[in-house]
Amino acid sequence: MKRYARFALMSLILVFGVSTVAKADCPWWDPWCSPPPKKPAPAPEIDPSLAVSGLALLAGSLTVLRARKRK
Amino acid sequence: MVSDTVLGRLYLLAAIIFFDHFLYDAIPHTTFVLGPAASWAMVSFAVFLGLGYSKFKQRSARLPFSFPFLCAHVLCMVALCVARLGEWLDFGALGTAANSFPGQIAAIVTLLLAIALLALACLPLSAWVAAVRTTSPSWLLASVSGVCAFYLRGAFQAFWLGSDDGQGSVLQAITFDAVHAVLKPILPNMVFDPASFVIGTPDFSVFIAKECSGLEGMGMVLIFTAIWLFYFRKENRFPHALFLIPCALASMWLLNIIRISALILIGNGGRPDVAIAGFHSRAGWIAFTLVALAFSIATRKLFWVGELPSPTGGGAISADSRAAVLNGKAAFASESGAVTGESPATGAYLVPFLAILAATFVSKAASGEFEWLYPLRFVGAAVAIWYFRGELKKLNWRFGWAAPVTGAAVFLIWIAPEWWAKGSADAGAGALGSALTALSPAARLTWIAFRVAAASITVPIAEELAFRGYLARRVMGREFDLVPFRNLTLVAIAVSSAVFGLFHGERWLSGIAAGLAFSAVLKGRGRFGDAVIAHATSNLLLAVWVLARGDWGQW
Repeated sequence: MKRYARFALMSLILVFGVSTVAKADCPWWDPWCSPPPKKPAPAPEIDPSLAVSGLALLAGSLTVLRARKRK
Repeated sequence: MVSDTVLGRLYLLAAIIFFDHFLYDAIPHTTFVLGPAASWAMVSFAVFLGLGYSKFKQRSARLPFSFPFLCAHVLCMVALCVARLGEWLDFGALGTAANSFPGQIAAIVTLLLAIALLALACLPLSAWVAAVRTTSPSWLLASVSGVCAFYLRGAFQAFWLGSDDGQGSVLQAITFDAVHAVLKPILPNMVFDPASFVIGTPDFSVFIAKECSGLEGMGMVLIFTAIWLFYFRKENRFPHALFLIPCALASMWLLNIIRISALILIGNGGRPDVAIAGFHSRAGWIAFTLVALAFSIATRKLFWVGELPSPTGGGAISADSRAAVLNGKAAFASESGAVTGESPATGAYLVPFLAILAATFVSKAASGEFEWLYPLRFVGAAVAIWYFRGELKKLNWRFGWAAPVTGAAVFLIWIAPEWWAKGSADAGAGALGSALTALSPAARLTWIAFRVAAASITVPIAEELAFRGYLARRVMGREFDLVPFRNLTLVAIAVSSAVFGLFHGERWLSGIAAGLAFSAVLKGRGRFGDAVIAHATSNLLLAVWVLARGDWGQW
């Protein structure tokens, strides 16, 4: 049980330490204040044909790498 | 179907909650019900499932499913959706009530009740108690982990979401500084504005947006590495292998710094068209592919990560498996055979096509609107085909009259939609035509010669090897090279044709039709040469059409 208590204590120190540093304008006990109003993000510019080619190249290369050697 | 065991029911519970969330969140809303607690719930559930996985898997007792509880859950969710719709549409008293404080409290209670009812529908209360008891104290660790996720969520989000004061995300800022550090010794006249994240020279500068800060690439690497380690978990040692994930993420981020730096150097060097139209996103894909390949090699080659002997050390398949494959039971053979890893013939069938893809990435990354390095595609595929000539000689390369006829039919299918739409007299010159006109006659002739040679020789061979030779037969079993082409199943043909269509962008429908036609001529006589000649004929006719009519849009 001592091990778990130590784990819990370390976690709490880490959590509150990081959240206090990261959210200087928020009270440490209030995680709800963290999500800022999200601005609309620009749509990602992903070219579908580029994605198909890229993923195919990766998948094909990995398949070839996993091929057995001819004896 | 989902199994009736504890594990199956836990998966079912997660799937239904995901579906509920998808529906409920799709309705526009301004107030959160339990949204901020989702991180706690997700991480707690995942950790609880992960820690208790082996014990859950041992419990094979079949559990009853409670449909009354499920109906009650559905009723709660319907009530929540109706209330949210009322709030969105400002539907009189319903909208006002849903937006009020008591209304929100009621929504929270209803949602908690809905989740509890679903949990009891999937697993009886006694099974929940047993699951918690047998895995104790996993519930405690899961809860602590959930709390960690709950609080750290905001801190980690600052890494990519950015802050309220417009200073950008942490990742954006450190990427910007890193690019500055790389280019500072090279470019003495740098333009450098940390407030707007614009960096470059007076001639060429770029804005490092949040999505350019390596986030997309790192996200893809994270997904890839997680799936890879899960899928091949029996081949790796844990937790050692997990150490490779942050290494891969760091590599991706560093390569992104190099990508942005190179982008600025190319643009500043007088080729902004190459930097923007060619290099920008292709360099990202090249980096991702390199990192993913290096990761997969590392998981197999590093002695402190690997668990089992490499699959490449596998032997030949048994005589029984070979007989099963030849009798059209290839799937059975691959499942039951003790051999792991792909067939030794895989490289011969895939590498020529992969060479074309890789050459395309390189040539387009080095090009603007006009792909002047196109001959690289021909050379790459030709070298690969020559390298594997020994293996490829085993195929039946003979062909009959049906092959060119099929090719001609595919050509007509290919040009019909655009010809119909544009009219026979309207063959626009296009950007490619303009670029070719700007070249010297010798350069123009050389480029066109390589383009026609690739279209009618290397592309048909490489694509037929990959789609009909490999993919269609791989769908049927691991030892694909032992499957006779006459035994191709409808599913195999459909899958390979669909993927073939996917590779033809906007002409995906014509691509699928072409794939089906090439498969049909291949299955008819069982000769690989028929498919290649049909493909080559259609591509050659298309080349003649393009050159004769100047319809460059078809290329």
